[in-house]
Amino acid sequence: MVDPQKKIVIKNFRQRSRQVGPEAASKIWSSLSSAIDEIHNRNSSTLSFEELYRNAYNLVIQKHGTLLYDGVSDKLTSHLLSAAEHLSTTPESTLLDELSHCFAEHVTTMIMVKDILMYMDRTYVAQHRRKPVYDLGLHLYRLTVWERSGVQNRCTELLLQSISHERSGLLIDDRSLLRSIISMLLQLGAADGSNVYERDFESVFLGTTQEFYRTESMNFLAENSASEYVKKAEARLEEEAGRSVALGLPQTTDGPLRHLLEMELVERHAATLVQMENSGFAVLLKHGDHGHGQGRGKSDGDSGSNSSDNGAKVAEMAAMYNLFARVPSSVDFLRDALCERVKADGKALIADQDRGETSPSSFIKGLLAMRSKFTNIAEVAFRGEKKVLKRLKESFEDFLNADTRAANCLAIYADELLKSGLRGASEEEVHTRLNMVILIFRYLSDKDVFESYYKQHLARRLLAGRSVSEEAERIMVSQLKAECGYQFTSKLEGMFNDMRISRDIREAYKTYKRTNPQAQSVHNEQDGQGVNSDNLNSDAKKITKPVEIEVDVLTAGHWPSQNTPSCNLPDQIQGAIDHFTEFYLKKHTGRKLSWQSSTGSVEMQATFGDSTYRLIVSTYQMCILILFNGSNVLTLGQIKTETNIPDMELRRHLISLCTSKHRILRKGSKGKHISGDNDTFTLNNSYKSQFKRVKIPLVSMKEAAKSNAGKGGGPGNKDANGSSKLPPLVEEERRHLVEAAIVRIMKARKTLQHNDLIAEVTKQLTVRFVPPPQFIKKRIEGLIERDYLERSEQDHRLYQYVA
Amino acid sequence: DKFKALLPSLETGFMVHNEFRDFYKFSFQFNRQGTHKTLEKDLVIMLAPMILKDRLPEERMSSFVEFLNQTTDKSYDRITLDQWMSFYDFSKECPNLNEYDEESSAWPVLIDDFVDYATGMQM
Repeated sequence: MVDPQKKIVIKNFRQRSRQVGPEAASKIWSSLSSAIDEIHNRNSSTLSFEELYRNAYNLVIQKHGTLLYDGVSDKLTSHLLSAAEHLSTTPESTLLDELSHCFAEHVTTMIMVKDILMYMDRTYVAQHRRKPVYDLGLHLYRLTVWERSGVQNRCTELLLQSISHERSGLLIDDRSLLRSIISMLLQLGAADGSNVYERDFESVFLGTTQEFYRTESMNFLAENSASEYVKKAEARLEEEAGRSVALGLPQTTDGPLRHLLEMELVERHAATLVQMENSGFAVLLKHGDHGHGQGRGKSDGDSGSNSSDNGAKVAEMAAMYNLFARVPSSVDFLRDALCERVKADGKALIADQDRGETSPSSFIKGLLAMRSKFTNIAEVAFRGEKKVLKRLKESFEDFLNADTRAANCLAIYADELLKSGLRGASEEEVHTRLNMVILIFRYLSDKDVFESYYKQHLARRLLAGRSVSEEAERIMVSQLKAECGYQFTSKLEGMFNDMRISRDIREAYKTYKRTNPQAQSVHNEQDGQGVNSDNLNSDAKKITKPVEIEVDVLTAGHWPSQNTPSCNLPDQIQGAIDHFTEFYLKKHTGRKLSWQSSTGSVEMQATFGDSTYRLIVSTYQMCILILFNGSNVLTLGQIKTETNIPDMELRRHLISLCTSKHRILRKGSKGKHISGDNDTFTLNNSYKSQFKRVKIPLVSMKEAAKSNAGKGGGPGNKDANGSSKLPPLVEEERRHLVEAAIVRIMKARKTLQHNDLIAEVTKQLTVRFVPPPQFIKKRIEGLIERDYLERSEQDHRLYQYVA
Repeated sequence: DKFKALLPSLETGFMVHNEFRDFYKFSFQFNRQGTHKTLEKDLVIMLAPMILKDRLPEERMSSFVEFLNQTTDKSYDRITLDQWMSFYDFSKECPNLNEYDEESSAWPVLIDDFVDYATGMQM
């Protein structure tokens, strides 16, 4: 039972332990001090951690922290001094090793000391803002050992030397030793916030590295080819990266290191590498063909398979690109070199074509080869980088669009493909090869010129039946449609339709003829020439059978315009024509037929002396020859009057009849050309040919043009040379398109600044062609004159729509 | 000719810029013949210096006349109102031919060609 009177009283805690006075403190300190010595000497096993900790603890508690701290500091310093002394006299061969060892030991010591003095760290140090013990230890180490004159400078020397040796290919002893020294420096720096690593190692290291590589790269480049340099540079970069890891260099060093390496190895020599003779990038571009061209089918051949040498060059370029890619700005050099080469090759190609050394088709083939080569380089060497592809495209467009010749040549190339080049090709091959036409087509800025020429060629092909296959024609048109839209190809499709419909009409006409035969016409003989062995007409009777005709009916709007009026046709022909016209107009009232005598071919029977031949000639030639039924000799003037054939064409068709191979007529004047209106033509009775059926070819317009001082230009001009003049029809069409665009835009916007108008017009028309600003300006002025627009009174740059 | 006779008696010196400009425009329209909306080049060569006397620097006027005289461009055989007015406006705005920027100019092509000619002559 608890006694209610007695209470439990809690009394204040009374300091039981005695105060530790100064002498006691020193005594404790000296025991600690000797303990530290023991630890230092690696004799710590005999010590009791608990006792030491308690001693330290007591000192701090008794306000002797400063004593303890300073004592420790002095103690450490003295130990370190002796170590430093020792190190400064150590020879180079073992210095690093000993230093490393010394540091390791010190760290071990410090760890133990730190553990013992943990309480001090937590309380005294924090309160008095002094360095924590461990850090203190490192700090003292730095001051005492590292910064000892005999130590620091020699060590740094040794480190750098070691690295230098390694770079020179000599084996060094121990990377891990270097690693540990560097680690030491890093720790020292971290401990007291000094930048000892940066100051004593990093800056010198970077400096010597830069020196080294500057010299090495310069010397190497002087002696070796570019691609070897590239290999060496890559190797060095790898090596340095590896070393950096092995030596434990911090990330803060990595950055500057890589940067200076790239600068010294790549940036400094970028221009040289590109321009170097025999091995520079520019030269590689020249020869870096991926060796395609083994047969027409393999257009995108495997790179390197046909010509390993050239493939290797592409690989070299790729290696160079990889190196340059580290310094993005230097890749510009490579891109520039590429564009220069493209332009140079392009200009050369054009120059060849100019001089007439290559035909238009070869020009295009050359272009395709070029494109293939450089696209391959862009894909492989430049890793298909978008920037380079864009610049490649621009370079091509640049030289191709200097004039309109490319459009013309391309049309000729397509014509040849569709006339004969694709004979026997599989559908896939047709697609591929026609697609190549489209590839070049994309580069053209004068797409309308191409369309114009293509239409002319197509017209000729369709009318003469010279297409290699209708399927191929359709594929081409559909590819063009996919590229440019319906408008571009609507006329072309109209042309195909016309041909199809013509076939049907011919069938219908045949049926019609059976029920409504053509009247037998009486052959109108001239001046009683009558039956004569020189007579061209096979049938000597007066009454002649109607001539068989096959007609193609073309919708005028779709086909390239032919505005030549019909010539004077012989009566039999006229009769047949009239008969057909009658039939056709019965079927389609309200239409008008105009007969194009500039086209068409005739098969006629001709007797020369004893021999009879069947000649296949043009309509004009037929008209000419029929005249010789009436007379043996005729002058140019007479023929002209009788037939009404236009002068240029007349000469051409006449000359074709007097060529050495087919001398149907004999020309009066000497030489290849017609002398004038009085030049005579005589029927050649002794004409002979090995074949019964002879096709008389037409000479080219060029040849005929030489005989006449007049210009040879014109929309129907068969200029087989891929000239660069703009066809007048295209010129006129462009005017209309630009004006229509201007009016359309102004109507919508009401008022517009000059620059904006030009920009808008250009944007709208670019699909077809690129109008020069001056051209647009001229059209604007024309429209101002015709009161569609006006200039603003206040601002001469502003145009206003006139409603 | 009627106009030529009339002109000396007209004192245009008093007119301010805008009034004069209207007068200048009127003088073009007045001299049109028949249904033409344009003036013959020769007429312009004669007319312009008379009207623009003292309004434009002498050399500008004379070099323009020179230019018109020597050009073989058929499209300049007749001068439009736009070209007529633009020459005046342009001369007022651009006294120094060397500062002319052809690439982005909104003046009629006639002016561009004239500047080419005039700066070519200076060289």
